[in-house]
Amino acid sequence: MIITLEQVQGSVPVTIMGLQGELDASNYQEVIAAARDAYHSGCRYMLVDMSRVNFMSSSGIVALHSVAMLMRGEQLHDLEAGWNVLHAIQHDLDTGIQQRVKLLNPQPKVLLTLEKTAMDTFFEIHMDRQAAIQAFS
Amino acid sequence: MSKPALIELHASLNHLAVLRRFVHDQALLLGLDESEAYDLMLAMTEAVTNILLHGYPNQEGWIAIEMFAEANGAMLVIRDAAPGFDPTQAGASKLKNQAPDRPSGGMGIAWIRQFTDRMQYQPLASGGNQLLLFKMRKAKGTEVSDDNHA
Repeated sequence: MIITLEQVQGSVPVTIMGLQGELDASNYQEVIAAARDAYHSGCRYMLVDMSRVNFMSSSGIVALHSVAMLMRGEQLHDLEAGWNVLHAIQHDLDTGIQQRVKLLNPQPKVLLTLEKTAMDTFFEIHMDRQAAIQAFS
Repeated sequence: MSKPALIELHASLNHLAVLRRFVHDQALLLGLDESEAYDLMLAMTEAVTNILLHGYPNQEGWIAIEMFAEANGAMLVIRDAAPGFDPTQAGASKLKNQAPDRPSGGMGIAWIRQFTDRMQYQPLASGGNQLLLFKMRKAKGTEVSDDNHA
């Protein structure tokens, strides 16, 4: 998994996290670690560029949810404690879309996965980079 | 009928991508389309991830995947030597807006159900597990229900 970070300025400062590769249990913690580092560097709004992610397993869902928790300043659950992680995701799905993390241009199969898992009710999904940046406020 | 294709690897998360390539290529050879092959890759990834994280948490092991044609689709068989675990008896939840009902691997099991048409478990006589996942080849213009699991 190749991870890049880029700072841009919209209504608020936004960090664009670019992901490239296949997102699964072998590398999802790299995504979380990169988001944690960005948070400690002051990042509070993140746009995750999914355009070069050509596969995503449920570990990717856990990673994206963890990124949202980090941007909200919340403590992450123990990732080995599957029950707690899944309940946290379920709870957040019930609360609706959050504003700290948005997704950019997921490939069709990954988008379908996000829709089937209802993660599209938790993350705004944008297909246009500028529109996505401006959507943060 | 073509012979079954088999891959056997040391149990490691680093091998997930290799296993996906195998499943993708075999699925296409067996007549599935790209979308069906992707679903089978997803289901295999979830099943093998559960085995690696929960079946072999602190021990060496192996994973074997066999694929062959079955009527109207492709069968994928995952074998391992981890302690016995029957995923068909766990995680009966549906994906959308329902909490999984298993402490670990719950989401993965829900995904296996969601992205395949049949899931069947058999313990291996030698110890270990055998999970059979069937993906139906859709006829043109037809849709497969999500509710037709074994």
